[in-house]
Amino acid sequence: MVEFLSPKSKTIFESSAFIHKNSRHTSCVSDHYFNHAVEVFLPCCDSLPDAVQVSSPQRQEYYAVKRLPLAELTNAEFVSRFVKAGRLYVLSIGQHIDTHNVAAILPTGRLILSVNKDTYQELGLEGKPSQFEKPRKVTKYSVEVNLVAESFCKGKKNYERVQWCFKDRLDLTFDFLLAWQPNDPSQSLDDLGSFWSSKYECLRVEQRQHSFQMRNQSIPVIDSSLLLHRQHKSNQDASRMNGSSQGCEETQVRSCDAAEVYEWLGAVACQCDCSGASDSFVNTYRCPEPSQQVSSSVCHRWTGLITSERILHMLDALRSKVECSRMPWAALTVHGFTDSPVSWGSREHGFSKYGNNLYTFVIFPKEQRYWLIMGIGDHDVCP
Amino acid sequence: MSQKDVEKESFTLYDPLPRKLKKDKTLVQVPKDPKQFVTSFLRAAAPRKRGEQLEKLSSRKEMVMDAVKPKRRTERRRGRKKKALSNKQKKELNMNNIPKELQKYEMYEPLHQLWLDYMRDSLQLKNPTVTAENLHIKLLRCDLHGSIMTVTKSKCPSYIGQCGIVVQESRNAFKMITKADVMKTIPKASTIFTMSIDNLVVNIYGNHLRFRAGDRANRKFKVKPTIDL
Repeated sequence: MVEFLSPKSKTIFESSAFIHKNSRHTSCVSDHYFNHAVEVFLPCCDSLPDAVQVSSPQRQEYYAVKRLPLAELTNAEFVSRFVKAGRLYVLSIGQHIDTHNVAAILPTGRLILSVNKDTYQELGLEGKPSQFEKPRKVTKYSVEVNLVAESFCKGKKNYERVQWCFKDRLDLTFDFLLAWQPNDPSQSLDDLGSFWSSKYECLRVEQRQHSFQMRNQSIPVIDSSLLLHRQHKSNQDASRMNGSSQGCEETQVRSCDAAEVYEWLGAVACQCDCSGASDSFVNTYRCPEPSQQVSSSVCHRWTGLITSERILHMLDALRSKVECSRMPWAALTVHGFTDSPVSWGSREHGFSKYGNNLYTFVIFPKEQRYWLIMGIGDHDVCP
Repeated sequence: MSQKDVEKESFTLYDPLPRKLKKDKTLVQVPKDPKQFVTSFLRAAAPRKRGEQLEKLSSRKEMVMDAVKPKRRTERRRGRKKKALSNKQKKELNMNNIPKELQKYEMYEPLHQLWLDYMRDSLQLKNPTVTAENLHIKLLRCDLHGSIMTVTKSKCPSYIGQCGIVVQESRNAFKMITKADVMKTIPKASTIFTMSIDNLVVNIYGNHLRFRAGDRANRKFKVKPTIDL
């Protein structure tokens, strides 16, 4: 019999308040550069509220450029016009990170190249072996070039070397996705498209959206006030070391666990049938207890290349919406690209089994509290 | 020695043979009749006044060149080692290194031309009967001093793209002089070199050539797979 090891993964759970001075929600969103999908789940809603619709990624467009040589992205003119003048998100697509070469430019102005061993040995740029490889059996290397460094300009040795490596040594070409957030509001994304339109095939792409409504559905009950209480209590328990089991049971009855909610959100995103009835395909998954019946709820999803500014914007809109309406809570899930070379910040990311890098905010109306659940796979560094 | 003298001297190395020697064709060519060669050689080498003695010498029928009995060496002398410097001494005297003022790219350009001539001669690329297998064997054994080599693949990325004329070859490394007049030592292990002879471009897996230049000339090579560096 063949035994399959279950893939390793990590789920990181944080509970905090938006107004807390040490809250990490801004850095979590803005450091996650390459977002492929954004999903909003709003219970007790008939349709997507206008405030959320306005701030949604719908209006943010991006470019897809086919067969673009890497030398074009690193030349001085492009760097000064786009990389230094805004936040540029560039990611190559169509290549698998575990076996092929992947290139990305982070908004911080760093070019990250994840290359396989053969390419690395021919390319001629200094890099580091990937963190997830066994020592002495390295097949992946990551090369980093700082495009915004002062020394990276025409005539300097480093610049010429990089240009020579991408032009003369290896003709590295990729299909790229580009999104740009210019610092100067008078500039727009059109400049990016017109920059190459004569030479390469540039396509302006809109985010795809998908929406569905659910009626008469039961949703888990989360009591955020209890959450705070419970934490407080458990701290006390730790100091006293007695009667802890009783205290936990008491709260379990009244509020759902974060892990349960997370699982349920996943089931909703996949549009699973959560009624619990057994059918031809046996799925007896039910909404975790305690639950409440809701007349209708909305789930909306945008996919494409979404900048982290947009998501921050959207998170703010959701916060104010949850606060002023009678929603019990709201959830925002962001999926990263499975084949992006970085997950959060410049932490390395690999595909391994499923290439997860996603995070979910569950926003509560009370005291601006939130849950943050981050999911990462085997080849990832804990954020 | 001033720099000009050095340059002059180094360039005389590549000068053609003196005219005197060229005229006497028996000297340049390999003689068929040894007697004739000896007489002509003596005539050219000995002073003119001794012509009579030369005739006497050449009229002799038997010529024993090593008829003189060597002096018997004493025991002490036999115990002595040969006069050449040991490797250690050579190293101490810095004889293995090329002095910095001689590390000039243009100085070695004629050497490269010489090497090209030598390769054309020994490979005989224009000859249609030459097969690839023959070429491989010859390429393995040929001398690589004077070739222009470029590193195309290496485990260490900073070696990639180094290009220059090979001036020294040791067991584990090539020493080459780049166009910027700098001497670079590049290890043969896990490196692929590329060189070109006219239209022929040769990729050399350094892993297979890890012998001294002299050893390589008459060595039996084993077949090794060339999959990875």
